[in-house]
Amino acid sequence: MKEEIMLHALEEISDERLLEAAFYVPIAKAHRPKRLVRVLLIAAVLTTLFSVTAFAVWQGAMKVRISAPEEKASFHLLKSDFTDDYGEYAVLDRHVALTVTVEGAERAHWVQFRVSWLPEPAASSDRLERHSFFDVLNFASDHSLYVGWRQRPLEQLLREANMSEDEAKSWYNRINCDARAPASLLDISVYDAALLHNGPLIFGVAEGATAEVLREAALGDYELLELQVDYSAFYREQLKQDAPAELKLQNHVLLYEPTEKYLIRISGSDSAYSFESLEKIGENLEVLVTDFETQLPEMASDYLYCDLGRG
Amino acid sequence: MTDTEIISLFFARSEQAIAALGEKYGAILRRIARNLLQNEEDAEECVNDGYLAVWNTVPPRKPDPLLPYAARIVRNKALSLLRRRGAEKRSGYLWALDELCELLPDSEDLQARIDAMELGRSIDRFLDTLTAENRALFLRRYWYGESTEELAERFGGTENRISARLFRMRRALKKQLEKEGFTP
Repeated sequence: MKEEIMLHALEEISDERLLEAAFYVPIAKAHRPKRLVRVLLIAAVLTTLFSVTAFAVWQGAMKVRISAPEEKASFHLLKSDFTDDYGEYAVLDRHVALTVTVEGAERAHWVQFRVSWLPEPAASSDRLERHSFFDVLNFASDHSLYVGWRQRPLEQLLREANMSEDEAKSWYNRINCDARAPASLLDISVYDAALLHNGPLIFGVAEGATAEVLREAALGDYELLELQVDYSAFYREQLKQDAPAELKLQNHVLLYEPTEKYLIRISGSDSAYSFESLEKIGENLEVLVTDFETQLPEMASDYLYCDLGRG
Repeated sequence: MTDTEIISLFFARSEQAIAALGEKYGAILRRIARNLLQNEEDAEECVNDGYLAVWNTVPPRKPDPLLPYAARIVRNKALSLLRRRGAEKRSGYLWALDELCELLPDSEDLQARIDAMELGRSIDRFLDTLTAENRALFLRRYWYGESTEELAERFGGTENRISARLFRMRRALKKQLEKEGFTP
């Protein structure tokens, strides 16, 4: 019934519209760089971005929009990627000290890791949470999360991933310890092609915090970037209190693997984890790229926003 | 050859008319039929039936522009064939159509509640609110029946990104339909 009604309704579309659609040539396509060339904007963007003070950002429930001031014409790609066509999102000015954009790969493969070294106090903390590949598959099977996975039992997903249950449980996509724990914030996350496939990933530092890029270098096969976020002003101005020691400064190590196009983020409270120790975690990670393709479901936006928060 | 010249050939009952129509719009018409039927042989048959239908209706009709007229005929023939095929051979287009149908409420007296023509006009008004590119994207998906893969190739970006754009458009359309009382 619905189908018949909708088909009749579509008959009412005017000739003018049909002609326009039949002969429409997307202008923007000619100007868009090839996706494979649009690799990673971290290095290119950051050097300039750091001298830039603010973007206007509105961040609500699952909706984020970034608009750059006119003088930030150098961030054309960012601007064009994040200009929403429908104007349905309100824009609220909020300070963003830094934005890092990562462009993902075409193939939606999965990347998991194991840690062979962790610094104290995380190493012996009982607040460390591990999110395994098995958890991902289990969740996907239960919730029909991913397109093409619908109604596929866990056993089938494991078979397609070419993994036993035990193996899937021994690889992780996130290990973290929240900042309220005695061990302070520690977070190791992988943003793999399955995630980045849907569109760029934006790391933002919002809510009045300030951020600084401390180092750019190579670390093995990775492109390394070290950021430090200072929440002192945020606590002082918005919460009217001094920032607790474990929340004041947060260190972030971003490791980008340019061949497989995945990103590992290792974050920790500066009070407990120095950049050296975060780098050492990265050096001792064992990474598995699984040739297991899938698609993300339709998402509300064609990019992902990640706030480099306070844990 | 202009549409007017082709129509003149139809009016003159010249066999050149069908050749001229095929030469100018055959590729688009074949693509519509292929998109909907996903079968080369059926698509070809459908387009040929469409040419014949144009021949039989022009004159007395004088459709200008000609393409939408011919496209509607071919599309309707393809949809009829799809219905005859039955549920076991649902094409990708019907799955796309389902995405739009999800915007409508579940109701046993839906036909009594919703006037398809009014709904169509509402969709047309909605298209007015979109950019030209999004209008083209929406119609190429839901009217011309192109796959997200083809759309990604045509409009750039990945299939997921195209799906996300379509999702946002459907969400906006749903809001409008709610506002206009088509859905509760």
